[in-house]
Amino acid sequence: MTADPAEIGLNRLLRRAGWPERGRRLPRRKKSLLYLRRIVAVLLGLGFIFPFYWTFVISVDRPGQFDSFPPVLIPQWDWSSWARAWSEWPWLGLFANTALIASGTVILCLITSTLAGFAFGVLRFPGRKALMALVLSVLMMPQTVLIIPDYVLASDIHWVDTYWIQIVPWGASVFGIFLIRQFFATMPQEILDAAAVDGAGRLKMLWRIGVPAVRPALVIIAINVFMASWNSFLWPEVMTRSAASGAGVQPVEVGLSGFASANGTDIPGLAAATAFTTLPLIIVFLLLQRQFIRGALSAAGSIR
Amino acid sequence: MRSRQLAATAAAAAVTLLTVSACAGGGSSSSSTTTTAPAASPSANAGAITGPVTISFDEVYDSGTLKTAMQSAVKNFEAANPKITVSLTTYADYGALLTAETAAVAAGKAPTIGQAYESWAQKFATSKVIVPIASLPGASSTMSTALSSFYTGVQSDLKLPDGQVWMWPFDKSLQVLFYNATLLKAAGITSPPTTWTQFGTDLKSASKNGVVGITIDPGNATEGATSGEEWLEELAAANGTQVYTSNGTPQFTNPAVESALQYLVNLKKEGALATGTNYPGETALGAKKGLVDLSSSAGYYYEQQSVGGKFPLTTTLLPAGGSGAPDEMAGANLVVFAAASSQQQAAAWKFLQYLSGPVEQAAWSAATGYYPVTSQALTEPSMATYLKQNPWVSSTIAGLNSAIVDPPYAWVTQCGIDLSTAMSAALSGTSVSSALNSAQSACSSAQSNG
Repeated sequence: MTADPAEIGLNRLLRRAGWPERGRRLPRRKKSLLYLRRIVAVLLGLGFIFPFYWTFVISVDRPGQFDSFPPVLIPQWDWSSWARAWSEWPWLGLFANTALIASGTVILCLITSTLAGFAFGVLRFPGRKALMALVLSVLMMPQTVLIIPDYVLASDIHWVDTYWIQIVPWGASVFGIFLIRQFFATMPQEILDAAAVDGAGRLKMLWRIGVPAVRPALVIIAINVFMASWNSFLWPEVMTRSAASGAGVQPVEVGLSGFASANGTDIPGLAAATAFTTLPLIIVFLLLQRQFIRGALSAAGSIR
Repeated sequence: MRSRQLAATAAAAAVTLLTVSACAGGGSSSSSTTTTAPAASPSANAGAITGPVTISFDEVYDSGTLKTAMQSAVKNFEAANPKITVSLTTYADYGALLTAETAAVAAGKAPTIGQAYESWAQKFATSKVIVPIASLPGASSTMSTALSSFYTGVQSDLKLPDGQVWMWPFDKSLQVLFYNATLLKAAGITSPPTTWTQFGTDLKSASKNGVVGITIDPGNATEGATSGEEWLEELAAANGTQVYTSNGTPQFTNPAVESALQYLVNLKKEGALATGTNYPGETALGAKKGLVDLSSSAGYYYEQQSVGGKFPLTTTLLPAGGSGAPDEMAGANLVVFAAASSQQQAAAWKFLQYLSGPVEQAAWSAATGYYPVTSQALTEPSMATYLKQNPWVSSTIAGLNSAIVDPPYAWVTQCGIDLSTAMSAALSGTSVSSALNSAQSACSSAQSNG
């Protein structure tokens, strides 16, 4: 029976992290080091979890407690901020919008990054380097500078206040193209030559050899693009209109911004809204974390 | 104020774009370049709405009581004016609003009405994308009566340097002091101070056992100017000189301004003043680590939320200096865009009158904590309960008559940031005169560049 490449990769990782092989005992010194590593890892983990925990605690604080000193770190289970925050915006609609926009953007980005990265990394054509430099130069242009001309353009093509304007302009990632290109640039030419000898066309080569080889990069791109799309604020704020009722096409971030005004910030309300809009993502991540790791490591046993 | 300053970057870009778009016609299809002549000749029918008309309103009332109160105002207005529909477009903050308004103007899709600060209105007016209020159909005969009903400080805030009324008021606020009454009593202070000298003395006497008299956010180059910078302006005015002349020229090196900043530096040295970011005074007050917070009267809801009944809150107007107790007024105004049709402009004027009228002002004030812009609202039945629950409103609202505002010039936004930077530097140890000299120089450059 052949071992699962992902399993092999996972085991290697565990070994590197200090986990002993099944049935093997560690010397005392190594054992102490292992425990120390674990303690540091747990502390680091707690450090990452704490901001969300505190946000949740503030969201269920009793009135006036969020500003107490020393801070209250035990949940008080007062759900009034949740009720108030929930009634502020049509969160389910906003959440669905964000999920649709983020997913659409990720899919587009994966397609464009793979195609462009393959072209820049594998194909040989005149002006390839200059074109790549042109693509990279986009990174140097701040989005804020272009937002007004972009609005005019969006208005001209009747895309203002649509899902399209929130997905299509972000459907190509320079970072993604560069990353995939780097993967393909280091791929041995012999593999592609062998595929060509076997009669594979370019698209078949890309699909059968290229995509499995760059799967780790695709996972990284997907996570990055998803996070960027999920956190996007200024673009949807300017390009979309909030309706008097209903979510329209706006995402969660626009709703969250509503808790801050020129005169102050409704901190308990914002904490509650942040908690109930982040919670589903955390649950999804926890449920799928094994798949994420497998996805990232699966290339360990495939073509590199 | 912070949001206002965050808009500075967008504002700078907007000037050029607005000018270009205005020169190119800006996409407006009707009366887009009318700035002085009324859109319709005065007649018996001027301002009459002849058929169904929709007006759009770009604003920042997107949450909490602001959102529901605005929706309620629109509902009541539409019920009273069945031919007019008001379409609200809300934005999270003033920075996003300015970007959106600028973009919409450039795309030829300006709203009918938009919120605008004085410096924005000046840019819009210069670019000929808004119209003077008197030019709105029906306004020429009714504007002066409505105008005279506003507090005098509010009235003067509506004019641009050409002397014309280009803006209309809706919500206004002043800076007020929120005291922890329990800490006041514990420090042996029987009543809130009425002079800045006494204020300083009281802060010092209350600053002990982990309590700091006041915590402010002076702002900085990244964050922009904040309420701390406004305090400096108020102190300078109380010393007899405003930080800008009426034509927007900075006077940062004037002895009155230097004395104001030195006052703050001395408080810091004595341990009676601390600095922070993100409404630090509110946080310190709520944590019972601050005696007093200086904030907008419209921030009362947030102060109460932070205090949460832990102690009684005492709210007062600012103390006085040698030249009175000038208080900086905040709150954006409303402007009407030139691209709107004559019918839309007529409907806009009706809506502006409705929003600034005593009935709606009373309802809006009671719901949101903003001051009404007309004293007539104080006698409205809907205001009675609110005033009973918030007696500080009655005792502080007269400040709208003597309120100061920054002159309506584009560079003043940048100069506020320069002053914030100077304030932060001085509170961090730079000499007051050196910090203000740098700010004066930077602001003068901004003024030269327009």
